[in-house]
Amino acid sequence: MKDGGPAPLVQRGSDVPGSPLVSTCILVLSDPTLALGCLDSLAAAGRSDETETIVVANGMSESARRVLEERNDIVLVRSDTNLGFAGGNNLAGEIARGRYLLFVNDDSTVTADCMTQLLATAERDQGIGAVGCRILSADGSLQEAGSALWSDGWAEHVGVGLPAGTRRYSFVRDVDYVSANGLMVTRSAWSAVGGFDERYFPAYYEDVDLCMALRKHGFRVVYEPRARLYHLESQSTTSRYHNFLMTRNRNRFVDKWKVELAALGDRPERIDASAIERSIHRARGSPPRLLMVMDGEVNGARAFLWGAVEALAAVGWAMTVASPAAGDEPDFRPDRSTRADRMADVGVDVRADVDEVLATAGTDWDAAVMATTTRWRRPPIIRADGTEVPIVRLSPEEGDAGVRSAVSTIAGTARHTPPSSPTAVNTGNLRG
Amino acid sequence: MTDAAQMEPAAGGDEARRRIRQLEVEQGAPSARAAQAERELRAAKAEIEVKDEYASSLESELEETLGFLRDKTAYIESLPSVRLKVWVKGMLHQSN
Repeated sequence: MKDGGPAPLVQRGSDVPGSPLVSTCILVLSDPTLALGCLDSLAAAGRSDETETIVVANGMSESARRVLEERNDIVLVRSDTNLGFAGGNNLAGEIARGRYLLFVNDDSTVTADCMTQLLATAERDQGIGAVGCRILSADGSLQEAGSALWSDGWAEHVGVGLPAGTRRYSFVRDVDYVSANGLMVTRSAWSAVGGFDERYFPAYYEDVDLCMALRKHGFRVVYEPRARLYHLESQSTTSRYHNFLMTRNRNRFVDKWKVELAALGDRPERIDASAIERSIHRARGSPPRLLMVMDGEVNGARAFLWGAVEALAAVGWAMTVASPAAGDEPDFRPDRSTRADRMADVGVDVRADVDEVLATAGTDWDAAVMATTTRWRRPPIIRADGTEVPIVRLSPEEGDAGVRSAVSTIAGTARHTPPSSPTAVNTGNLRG
Repeated sequence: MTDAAQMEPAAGGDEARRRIRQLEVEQGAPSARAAQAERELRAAKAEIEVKDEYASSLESELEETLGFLRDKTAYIESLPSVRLKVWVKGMLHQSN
């Protein structure tokens, strides 16, 4: 306590904008060193006139707090007691003035366009309640590309451990949940669900719970691969207390959501690539799935074929393109101008590892398109139920009529009904 | 621009109430301080509850481990080779 009365609960820095678009919320428990790195990365990300950063000193000592009190670019909120992850962030949410809340861990740094990418996706559809980042470890390896959930409340980060530079899971998709590190929530969605549930004190499962609540209220929870965040702390903490909290809060979560969880798949004995693929597909609403294999001999028609992929994805198909040349395609650009960006926007999974795609059991394609001039020399693709995936040849030289015919054939072979008829696709869009 | 001026006239009742609440918290109004005290009290109680549950879980784990050790010890002591060793040791002790 300072002379002349209690220290203020909220200290609003003079450089903080009065009417921000985004409010970034960060909790700091003890040592502020990592938080300073986090704040620097947010400052470097620009948008300072549109962003306020709310730092909750969540049970910090007065001496540790001092370095934060000296900053003019943050809103510092003091809580003498650790309110837990949910309580601390709910307090930040109460003070936040932005239309979007962005939750970031203090041991993380955001990349320069992270916030811009999250915003661009959040603003694409009013139905989106939350957007999550692609979370990387300090060495660049993948930590999370959205997360999957099973009926027993077990959660798994998609893509965890994939090496630095991997392009796996580089498409926008609806997910079961995203971790609350680099999680952007719209104000309306936040208000509708009443913020984080504080019964998960002190931590774990409050983000899973929030996403569950958002989806129950009809909001979409989306993963955005272009918004990247480095989570510097090791994920290998396996202390007894950590395990206790995980189990305790998972049990609470299951008790609360047992009806909704029953609709999710049972957790398989082993969570392998196939199990993850099945879970991803279910979280996307189980749309019909189409695999398009483009080999290196159809280079002259590639643009044409990509146009077909984009058009089918736009009408609700879950498209996977397997092409050895995909690895050489230009990656994302901040202005979202590359083909990779367009494909990511419509949820197309672009893969260069054709053999791996074909070998992942349980992917259960509705149909496969072989866009190649060579004969299909691979063994048939067999689904989990033992049936064979129908393969349609798509010859680019056949032009629009050929594409129409192939699309009709695909629609006929699919076991599901897509959201709208792919035959209604304007073939003008199919020209790349 | 004053804080009050930032309140958009078009904002709905809930939104206006939320912004007034924000100002109260930011300016450390008594109601905001009371709410913060309640928050801290809730968190302190939650912490006690969690720690109690954790202590109970450690106690049951310890009991389980001790029970396991007791069973193992009984099993080892029942092995013929172990019983023979004990008998030989006893005989040697007697002869000394």
